[in-house]
Amino acid sequence: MVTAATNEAQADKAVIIRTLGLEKSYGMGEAITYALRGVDATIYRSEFIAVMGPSGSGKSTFFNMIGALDSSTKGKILIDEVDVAQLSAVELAFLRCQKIGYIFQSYNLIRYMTAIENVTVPMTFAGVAPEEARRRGMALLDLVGLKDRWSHRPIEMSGGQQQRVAIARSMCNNPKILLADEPTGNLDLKTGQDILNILQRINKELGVTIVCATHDHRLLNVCDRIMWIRDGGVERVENRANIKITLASIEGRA
Amino acid sequence: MSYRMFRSSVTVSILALAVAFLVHMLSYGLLEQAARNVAYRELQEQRAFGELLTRMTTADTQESIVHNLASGARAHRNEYQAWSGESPAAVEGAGRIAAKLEQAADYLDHLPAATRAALMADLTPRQLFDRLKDPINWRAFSVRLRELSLRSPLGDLRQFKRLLFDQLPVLMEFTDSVQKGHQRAIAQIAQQYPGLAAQQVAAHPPPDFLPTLRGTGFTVENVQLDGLRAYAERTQDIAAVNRLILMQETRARIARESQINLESVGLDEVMQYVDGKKRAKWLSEVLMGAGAPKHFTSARVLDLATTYVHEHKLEDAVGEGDFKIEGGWLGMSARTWWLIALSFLVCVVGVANALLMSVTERFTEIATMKCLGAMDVFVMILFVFEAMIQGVIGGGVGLVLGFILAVLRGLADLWTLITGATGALGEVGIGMAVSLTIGVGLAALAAVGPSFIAARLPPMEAMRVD
Repeated sequence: MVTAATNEAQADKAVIIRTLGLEKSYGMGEAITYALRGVDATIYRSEFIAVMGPSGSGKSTFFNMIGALDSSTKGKILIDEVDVAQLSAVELAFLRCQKIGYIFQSYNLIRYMTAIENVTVPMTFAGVAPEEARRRGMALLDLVGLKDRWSHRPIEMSGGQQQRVAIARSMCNNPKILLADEPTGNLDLKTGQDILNILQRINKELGVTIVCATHDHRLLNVCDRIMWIRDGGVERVENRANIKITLASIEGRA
Repeated sequence: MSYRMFRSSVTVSILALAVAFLVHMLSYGLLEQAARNVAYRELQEQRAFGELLTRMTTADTQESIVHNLASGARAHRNEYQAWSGESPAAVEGAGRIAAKLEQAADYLDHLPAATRAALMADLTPRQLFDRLKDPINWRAFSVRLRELSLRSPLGDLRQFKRLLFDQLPVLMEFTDSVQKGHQRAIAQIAQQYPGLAAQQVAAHPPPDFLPTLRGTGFTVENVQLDGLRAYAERTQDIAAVNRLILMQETRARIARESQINLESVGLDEVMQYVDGKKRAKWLSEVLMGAGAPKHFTSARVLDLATTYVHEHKLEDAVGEGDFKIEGGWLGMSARTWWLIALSFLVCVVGVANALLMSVTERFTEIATMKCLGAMDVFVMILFVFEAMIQGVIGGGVGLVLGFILAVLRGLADLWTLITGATGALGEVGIGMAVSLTIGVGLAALAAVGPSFIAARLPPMEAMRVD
């Protein structure tokens, strides 16, 4: 359902995630329910794409699929030209560890670890030496502006600070893709804006592809493209440039 | 956090209890056995003295001769050879027959009660053997054996028949000549020390005492003269004390001056009552007043009482009859093993449940770790390791607890005799190491299920917001 116009506009860019006829259903026979009904989507390298949609639209399912967290009933997911369904458990763990960074709505920091320990956890999974992990972890905490808070535990930090630690953690193995699930959902306006600024910097300066599920309309200011999902399908995909003009009609339709 | 601490400590206590139970049973069993062994050895020495004194005045019975022959003890064989005047080969032959006889009697004694009643009514094996000499009884017996489809004593009926009809008379002849020889020896000793009882002789042994005994055929190589003298003196003194206490006047005085009832004044009560210097002095005065010899000083009385009470404790510890090492693995009965197995089962279920709660509580954390690239094996090890640490802590606490309880119980059951059981401490240590390993193993076993659930948790659980 990707429009011809956008297709042509993006044709010269490298693809990082592609889904082909993606379907996901629960239950069997009469009681079968579809969460996704044949989604074809393409996400390009180094772009910042926002995924929007009302709850129950299949947005979360789609999100889990492209993050290699869930398997599809039908269709293919290609991450960096690799079919996720063909990967073994160990290869999947490697993919999650090295290629994809995850940011969660409720931060999901490990409660009894300090900020720097939280940041270095994925590096231990990747087999990075402790000193090297610590050095890189401190650099990442510096990037998100929490260098002097490295020894604090999640309980001693505000929501915004916790989310910044989570962003540092997601970045620690230099992933190609960042998946953010409502990163500003639990935050107030100002801290939410800070988080978006950090994400934008990561996207622009480091060239990391960012896929961000959100309800936050401020995201329209920072993203490159927006994808609307409704009733288990992609309703439309637009470049940001095109949206500003039709903003009123979108608001009206929502 | 504190909630998790609480739950963790519950897990640790469950493990501690299970390990404590195992350690308690193990170390108590070992300590008790060692203490009984020590007590048995000490008592055996005293009994040997008593036996010697008895045998200086009374000839061995036929049964004890057969038993001693069957046991194969060298000392007894030498004595019997001297008294019967037979050749060593003949004694050896009698020993073989005696062993067979004991074997047959043992087999009959250990038949199930109902079978035994059907086969031999209420006769003892020895009585039965006497009766079977009558051919009519023999025929009835062999028919009964076939009806009950029982194996014959000694396995082979013909061999058993040969034992009863050919060999037993030979043995009886031998025992008769031994008894006669023994009586001659007793008479010789009486002649040597006219007018003296064996105890009196032993209490003040003349220089030629042991050579005289040896000359009459007794084997006295292992007899410690000092020990024998002390034993004989003590036995005489105790008998004297008993006699004096039972006199009407002394009884009344003892009841008046101590807390013992008049009816229950007796040797046991009085000896237990004398538990210190003060009471020993009192009893010494009482006995002197009743006409005791001069050597009944308070020190002697205290010594008598202490030894008397100690020996009774030894007897209590060893128990009635022959001392036998209790059956079963590591001295524990099948029932105890069942109890331990059951406690372990409860422990595993309890720990598994606690760990399962720990896993459910940490679903988000586990899923997040899996999103960050943790492998299934890592998550499993995480939980198994947690359980094993709890196992080490719980096991350590259990070890200390179980051992302390075992020592306390030992003190309650066997008094100070348990201090003689230090020889078993090495085994107890090994038992403790095994128990700790079992505790850690149990924890790891309990962790397998929950950690498997944790490892198979889909990582998308991390996305769930609650």
